Amino acid sequence: MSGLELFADGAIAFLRWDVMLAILAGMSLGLFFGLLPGIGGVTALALLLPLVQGMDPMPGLAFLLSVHAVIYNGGSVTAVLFGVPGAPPSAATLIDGQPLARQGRAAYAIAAALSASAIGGVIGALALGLLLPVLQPVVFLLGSPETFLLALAGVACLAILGKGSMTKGLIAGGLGLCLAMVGYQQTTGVPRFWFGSDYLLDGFRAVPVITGLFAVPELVRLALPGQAIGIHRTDSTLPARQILDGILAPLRHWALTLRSSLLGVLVGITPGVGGEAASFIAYGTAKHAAANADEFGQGAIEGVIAPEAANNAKEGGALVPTLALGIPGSSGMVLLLGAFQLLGLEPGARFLKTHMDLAVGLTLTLAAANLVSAVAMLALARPLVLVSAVPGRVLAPVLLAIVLLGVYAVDGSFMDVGVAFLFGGLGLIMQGLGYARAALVLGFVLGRLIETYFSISMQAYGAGFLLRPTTLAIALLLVAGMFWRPAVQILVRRR
Amino acid sequence: MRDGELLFPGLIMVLILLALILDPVLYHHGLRVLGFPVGLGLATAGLCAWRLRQRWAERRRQRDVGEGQGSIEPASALPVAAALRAMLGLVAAVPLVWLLGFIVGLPLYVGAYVRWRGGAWRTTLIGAGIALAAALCFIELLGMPQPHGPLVWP
Repeated sequence: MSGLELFADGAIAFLRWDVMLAILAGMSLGLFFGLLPGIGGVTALALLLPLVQGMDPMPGLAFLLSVHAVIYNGGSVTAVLFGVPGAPPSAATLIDGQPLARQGRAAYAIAAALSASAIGGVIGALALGLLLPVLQPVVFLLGSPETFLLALAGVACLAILGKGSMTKGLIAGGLGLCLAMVGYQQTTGVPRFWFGSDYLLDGFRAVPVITGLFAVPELVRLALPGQAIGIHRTDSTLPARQILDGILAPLRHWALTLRSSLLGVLVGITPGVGGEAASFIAYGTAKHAAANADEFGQGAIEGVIAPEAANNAKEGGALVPTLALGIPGSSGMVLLLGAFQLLGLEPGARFLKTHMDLAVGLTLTLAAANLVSAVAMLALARPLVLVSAVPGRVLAPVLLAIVLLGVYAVDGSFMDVGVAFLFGGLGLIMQGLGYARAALVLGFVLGRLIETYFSISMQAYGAGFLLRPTTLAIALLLVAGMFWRPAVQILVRRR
Repeated sequence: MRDGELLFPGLIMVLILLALILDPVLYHHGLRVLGFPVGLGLATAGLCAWRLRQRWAERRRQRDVGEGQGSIEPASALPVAAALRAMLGLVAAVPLVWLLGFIVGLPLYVGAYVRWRGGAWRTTLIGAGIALAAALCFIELLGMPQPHGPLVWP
């Protein structure tokens, strides 16, 4: 199939009224959650995951991707106006955005941030659109042994390359894989580890596990006494002249915008590096390369443009390994893989083989959501920022109500609500002790797939499947990829 | 001395090993069914044991350096008592919804919670109104399977 035909198929999947509606709804919710400090992209996805149950794959994925793609746009506005980043990646924007706001140029900084985000998002989507057709033929070469190995390596990568201790990451990933083993075995249909509970016969459901692990701990944080969500606003007037200058600023600094966006794509493609890294790496690189480096931190517009462009571009990059190989580029992508399961799609290396139209449709969704959200945020910034003044004691029970409705709605089972709280407790402990919750979720989402492909590989090739040339090559590449960070750390320490 | 860094991997290890022992005892599953989970479980339990060993070594180093040197790995733990109270405040929604259903239980919970945490009556009513709107939206507009009435009665 030619590139043009692939694009046409994707455009047909994308240009549907229900997809447009899903993008609009997702975008609005993404901007809303982005304005709430403490509710990051992953938490928002966990809260909204139950809503896609029963939807068609394209609108369901478009909804979640739109939420995730635009969430940091809202966070940049609160970062500039109040010095409170809506999500960790927006913290880099704060360094120069806040001084600009204090100089009375908040509108300039906000418009530049949103404009850079939109451009970065589109560049990220373009990179994704260009890379997917290149990767598709490669994916067709992958059999069950390679798929098994890639999925297993995805969990290991996230566990090893994530923040904190490698052992803790691997324990979390292993625990997720073990939890996926509960219930009917896919290849034999025999139930395991159910211990007399009918609920466990089908295994743990993705929605209560993911919502519990990611949303409940954030709600507990919000509910803690003294957790005011935002700072009362000072001045959020946005003069038109400043807005126009801000919109044009990333175009005036086009080389910086392009460089930061490509850097964001690269960071996104690298599994496990994480969302926060892209904006800070881009900020650091911009400062290092700038002629006015001493102005950084005191209100340099380049310090706003670079992190924003990189941050939104990285989503396109993160989708590349997620869609092509089933290896998530960021924690948000792990939850997106969870949504695949809910929508009846197989997450993993086979996705591109069967759903290239969806992949191209998602690329277009990413570009559209980034463009439209920047315009919407510019128009609605003033009234919307008031949302960030909602105190945690009000927001926590309201969001919990939505969580309970969503979790119950998936299967109509009240047990799911109990399981969500159980995993909420586990999430709190893991968060407190520094265990990667994303690794657990990825292990859980891919666990059954890994076992199935392992069984197929064993039946087809015996234990020798690990010695096939392609399997060996992938294994070597992945081992190298997984251990580059520890190796670099050891080298740096020796010097 | 309680140490979450020891308790958590220890508990995970015990639970995994318990599940791996109980399943063949209760259901007599063979290697074909249990082979893969046993491999995974043993690997994870082994990692937990490794983590326990690391933690013991960290504690020994801390003891050697002297008390009050702080944790080797920074943890972002919330204060346990406050987190437990906050969690209980959230879990309180479960019996209310169970007894009164989503349409009555959720607004009542949100209202009671906001009021309990010192919210003004206006804020309380707005919060409860949003919860009611969300419940109605889920049940009526989105056609989700929530029952209109209480969940506890058939």
